[in-house]
Amino acid sequence: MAWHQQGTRTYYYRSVRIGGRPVRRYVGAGPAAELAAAVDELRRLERAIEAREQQAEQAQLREAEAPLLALCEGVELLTRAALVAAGYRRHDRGEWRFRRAIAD
Amino acid sequence: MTGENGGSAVPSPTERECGDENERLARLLKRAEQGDHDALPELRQALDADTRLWRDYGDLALQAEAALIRVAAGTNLLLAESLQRKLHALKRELTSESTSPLERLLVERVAATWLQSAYGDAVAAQAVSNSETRSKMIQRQQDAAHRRHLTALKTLATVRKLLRPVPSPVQIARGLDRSGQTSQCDRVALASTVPAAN
Repeated sequence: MAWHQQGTRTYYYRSVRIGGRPVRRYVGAGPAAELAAAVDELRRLERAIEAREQQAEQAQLREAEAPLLALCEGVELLTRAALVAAGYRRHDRGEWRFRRAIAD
Repeated sequence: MTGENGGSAVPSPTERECGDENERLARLLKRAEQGDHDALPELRQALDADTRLWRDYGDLALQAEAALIRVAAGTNLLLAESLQRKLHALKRELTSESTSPLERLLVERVAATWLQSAYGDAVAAQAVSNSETRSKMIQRQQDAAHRRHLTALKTLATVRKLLRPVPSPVQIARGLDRSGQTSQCDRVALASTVPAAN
């Protein structure tokens, strides 16, 4: 979004993407253009606030999730250790199979 | 808290202690999986003798639960209390007197992942009017929580099937005696006398 000066007058243009390419669209001049620019600025602010809120929410969730992820990782390791200690082997990352020779 | 500044969360002392134990166990496990028979007794000893290992993970489970309750309930203390009670009931339902320390940990994990999954569902249900980016983010989190919960359940079922000791005829007779009080866990144990496929 931008103002462009030609001679003594300024014109407001809006940038939009059409088919992936940026295109500059003429909006107007004078009070109507100022109103359109204010609306665009407000939308930009709203998007920035939303993005910041989303980032804060993500950070909060990541922080809350950290002990759970550590627990999952550790318990998975303990389970594997317990199964191996009991004589089981995982077959092709799938089911656990008992191997008597190992258990004895 | 460093997350706001773009850094990763600093691990708590419990997480660090668990991390040290993890490394030791992982080394032993790797040796055992590569066919080193000398590693097996060490592995068994590490699992049987070191009660600190189970205690540390128990503490971590409590931390995980508390953190998730804080996020889900926010400042609503009634909801926080209700969630705590619900988790307690769920854990009681899944454990019995004969539950091993490993199974207890797995049950703790099932309870914590259930809470995260339920919270994800609730957030997704309320997110109808949200932007596309936010909806996608919520969907991704919900899917991850569901996968984590299913993995937790599957691991618990596998351990119950493969690592429960085979009951003696006397225990079976006792179980039949108190058939009115037999819990779901006991029934699973009785049904899994042949540890073959899982």
